[in-house]
Amino acid sequence: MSLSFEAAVRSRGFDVELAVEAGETVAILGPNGAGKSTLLTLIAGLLTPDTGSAQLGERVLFDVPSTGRGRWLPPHRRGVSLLAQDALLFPHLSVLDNVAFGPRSTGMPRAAALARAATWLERVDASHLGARRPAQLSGGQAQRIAVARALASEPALLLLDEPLAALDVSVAPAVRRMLRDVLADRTAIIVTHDVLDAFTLADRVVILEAGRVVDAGATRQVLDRPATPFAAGLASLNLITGTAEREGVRSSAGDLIGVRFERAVAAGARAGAAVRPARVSVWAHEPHALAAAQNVLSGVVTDLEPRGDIVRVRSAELAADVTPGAVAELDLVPGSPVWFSFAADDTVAYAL
Amino acid sequence: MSSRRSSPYAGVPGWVVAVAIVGASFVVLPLVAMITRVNWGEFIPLITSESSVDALWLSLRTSLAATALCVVLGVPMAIVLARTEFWGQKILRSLVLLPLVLPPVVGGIALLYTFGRRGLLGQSFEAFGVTIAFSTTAVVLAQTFVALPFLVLSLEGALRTVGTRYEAVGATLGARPTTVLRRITLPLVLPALISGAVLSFARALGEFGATLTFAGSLQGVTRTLPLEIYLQRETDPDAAVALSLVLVVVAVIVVAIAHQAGERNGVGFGRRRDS
Amino acid sequence: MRRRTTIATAAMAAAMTLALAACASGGASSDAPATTAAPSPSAAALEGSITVYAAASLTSTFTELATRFEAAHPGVTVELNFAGSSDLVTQITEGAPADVFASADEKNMAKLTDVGLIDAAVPVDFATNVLQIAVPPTNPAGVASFADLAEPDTKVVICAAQVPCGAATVKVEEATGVTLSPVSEESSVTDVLGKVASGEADAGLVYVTDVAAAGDTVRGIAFDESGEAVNVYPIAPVTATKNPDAAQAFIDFVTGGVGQGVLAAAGFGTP
Repeated sequence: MSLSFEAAVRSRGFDVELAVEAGETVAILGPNGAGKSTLLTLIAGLLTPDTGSAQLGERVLFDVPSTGRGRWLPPHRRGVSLLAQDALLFPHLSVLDNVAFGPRSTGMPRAAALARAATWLERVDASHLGARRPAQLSGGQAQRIAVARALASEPALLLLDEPLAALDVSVAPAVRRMLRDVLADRTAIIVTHDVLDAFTLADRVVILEAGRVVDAGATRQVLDRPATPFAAGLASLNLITGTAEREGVRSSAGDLIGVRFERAVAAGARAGAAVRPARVSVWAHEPHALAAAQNVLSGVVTDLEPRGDIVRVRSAELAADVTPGAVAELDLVPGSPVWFSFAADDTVAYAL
Repeated sequence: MSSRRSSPYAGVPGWVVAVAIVGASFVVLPLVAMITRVNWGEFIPLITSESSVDALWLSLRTSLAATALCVVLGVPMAIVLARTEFWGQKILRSLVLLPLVLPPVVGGIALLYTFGRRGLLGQSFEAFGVTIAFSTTAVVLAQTFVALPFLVLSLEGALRTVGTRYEAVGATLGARPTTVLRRITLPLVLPALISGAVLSFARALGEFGATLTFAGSLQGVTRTLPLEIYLQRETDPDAAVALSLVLVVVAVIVVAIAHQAGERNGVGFGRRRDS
Repeated sequence: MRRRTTIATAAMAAAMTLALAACASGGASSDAPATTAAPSPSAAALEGSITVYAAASLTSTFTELATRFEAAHPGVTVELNFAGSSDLVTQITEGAPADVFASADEKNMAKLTDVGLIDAAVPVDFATNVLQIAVPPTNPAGVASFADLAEPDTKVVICAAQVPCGAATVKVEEATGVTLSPVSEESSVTDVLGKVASGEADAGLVYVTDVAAAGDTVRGIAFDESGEAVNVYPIAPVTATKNPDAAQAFIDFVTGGVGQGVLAAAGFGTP
């Protein structure tokens, strides 16, 4: 079932319009406080908007005009399940009864509800846990049960609020794999911080910033051609925004960046240029005698972030991945003046 | 001081312990003093006399009824206070808790002017042929009046501690508010509900002033154990002491149960073993 | 086990007794010699102070009498202590420094004469008290006689048999053959009057002096059968008094013209 949604919550500066096709999984990405959880609570019916309307299939979830009385469907009649970061299994019920809770609540006879619960426990590889109490489960197990519980109520729409964020890194991959299986062909919205979740689980991503949608589209496209610094950060890309010219992109700072245009961009139009940190070199002195197709920009080191066998060197505008040996050789510390160089060929430009 | 091994450092100053011992003695010593005055030879006959048994039985019956009434009225009150916001809520909460600090006799007078023959509601009841004053019902009302805050207070606190997250999950799984209340909220706060009910029972059992003022004192009808003790004191101090001991024993049992329920409260819930 | 319990109890009892003894020694010196030198019954020589232990029902009358007595004997100060008669007996037995004891009944006086704290020959009766029916000012049940109290629709509140006004009620019931079915048996006169004054009860049985003291809140209805239970108030000096002359002078004052006048005004009868 498809979802159409638009709502505003003034006190939170939230004003979002969103559509989800039937069977589609949409990932919501955005910095803290962007309004991701507000979006989910509005759809689930745990918060009422100031204005807006939402419809799930034929069902009107809410319809609140700016004046006059509107309609508002209580959470239990929406057919929307919410899976949170914490599993929130009911501590007084066994695992099986937790999963059977949804079907039982909608009037299914106990035996049938338990049978359905058993089926769902099997789907999440947790059949052997049925008799346990939630307190006897590990975090990964609990989240599997929570998924089974959310799906056993056969929601028309499944909402997932950072379902993997509270899990140990060692168990997250298995739960992510399980989610990928159960989310196939299911209408779902997943809020996440992790770009990996977006790639594995979502068909489409929507980027929220400060209560507004700033970018949306197919996952790969949004993350390969980021429109905002946040999206670029998620995708681990350097993003330079500016104006398209015939020879390249004129950055906001006034530098002309040599780029490779994927598709022609009209001169004078807003454009972004993206380059991977791994393709950026760092120099302690201004480099000379470089090939003509190299961009050189100066900057000041703000941060050195070790990442396994490389170190990410950041300035206010750019990031570059270099070896620890290079950092030592160049004697880089925060505050060091440096020059960055990167090839025009590695720099992809696109219209914003 | 031989058994000090393997106990964590507490860092309690000696004088604090000394004052604590004085405080504990202040509570325990009067009970001991009372026990020394018990006429053990006559103890069984004294507490099994007709009037004593009537009083004990009446006290247990009315206290149970009052506890049931406290649960029936107090659970919705606690839920409304903990889960909703409305104008005047703080004032309402203070008023609901008022019987905790009011002298019971004031409660009795207030009840008299409400349910009494010429009271606010009593007049209407009287018109329907229902008389409350001097009946066992009056005892139950007096006990409920003084005991209700105990239940509301402990339950409201527990509801706030548990929070609304489980309830929200329940609702999104399709459970109606009543189903959420029955299958999620109440089971989650059950320990607090039990300890609150036990405390209410204890308070009802000990209720004296409001009952004396509002319900009167008639054997088997309105003369509960505390009233019987008060009356026996006039002529038969031995009986009064013996019955006091019975009341103390019942109270100790009740407090122990409440403590047990309190211990279970909040333990083992919502905890997750990290793998 | 039984033996062990007994020992423990005895130990606690011993501790308790010590504690009580410690408390008592701080207050009174009841073991002082009771003999006093050269008794002189002349009123002019009266001085010092006396402590009068009187039944609670005498509170207002004895307060007034003490003031008048002090006016008549400027050298004497009268301290008053009011409580239930049985409580006063307990206090005097425990050694409280009373000079005069005025009881609300002969039974409690007898408790002290039995143990020799008061000379059995000296108590004199100074007042009587009888029951009266108290009804709300409007008398909604139309009570006019003792027999009316037995009407099934009349809500009657009486004192419990354990307290003096209740004992008197039982005596009247037995003598008249009228059996009351009270809706409540209160442990104090105050509780009976409270229920009548508030209109919860149609009638109550209390002493005539209680009705008088309650003023306009209740109406009193005298009944002939009240004579079946006349409560007699005896008064006597305590043997251990250190001021027997002043004590006797106060007793004479109570039984004399002024005392009897004040008592009669409060509703008491003459013995």
